[in-house]
Amino acid sequence: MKKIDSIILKYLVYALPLILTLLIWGSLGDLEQLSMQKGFLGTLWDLLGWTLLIWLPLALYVSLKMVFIRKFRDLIIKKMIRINERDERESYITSEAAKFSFISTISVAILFLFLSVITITVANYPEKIREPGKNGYISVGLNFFPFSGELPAKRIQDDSLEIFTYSGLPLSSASAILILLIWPIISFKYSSFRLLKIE
Amino acid sequence: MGKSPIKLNITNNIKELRALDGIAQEELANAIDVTRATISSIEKGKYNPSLELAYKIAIYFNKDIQEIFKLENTHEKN
Repeated sequence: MKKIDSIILKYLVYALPLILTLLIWGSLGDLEQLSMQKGFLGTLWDLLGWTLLIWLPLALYVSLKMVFIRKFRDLIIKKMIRINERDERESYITSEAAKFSFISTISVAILFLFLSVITITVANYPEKIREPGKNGYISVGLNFFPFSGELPAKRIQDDSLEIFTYSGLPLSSASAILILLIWPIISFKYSSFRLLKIE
Repeated sequence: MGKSPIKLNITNNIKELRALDGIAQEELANAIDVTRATISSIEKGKYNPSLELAYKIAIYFNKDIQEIFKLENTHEKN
């Protein structure tokens, strides 16, 4: 790995606690007030801000390089999930764990997709339009909007008494992506630990 | 009418050979370029080495491969 890349990676790792501190501090206080602070806290806030300002483009650089340069990607991912392939047995364990991780991640992604597109509504009809034997309804649907930022408003009759409604995963897209990023790492580590334990 | 899969149970006497020559697992591992954990797994029968690795072990002990690795039971049904 080039020396500059090594320095960048070290910065990204060691500055991460500072970035997280900044994010937590920023979410707990008023941003305007925080940025206008004087004294030690003001200086600290500015320092953390500069750290983030440097951190973001470097993180973007590393992410892009990982996508397009295989050698770099392999090196980073191996370090992240601590893949050991010192001999054929460890290579075998790695490949089995990778297979398990891949299959389980696909399964989780399919589940997420299903849970995010399905909508279910159980409601009672308003009194005025109820008929004998028809007190309510169950509505099941699919919402798939690849480019839309918002789902359309629920199709529910005026004055209907909603008993239950489900309209997709209560997760932001960033949260869903984070889970799909963390899940393969955890499942890989779990599988390789289990295989090592069996031996 | 096809054949059932052949099931092999391969055992080895690497532990005994090491004991005879006073060789530690670490020493054998370093000699054939594997980890000590791999030697331990092979001796316990938890991992079957590749043909290449089996030959390296045989060459190290200066023995035939079949003197080190043995088939316990072979099941083949028609």
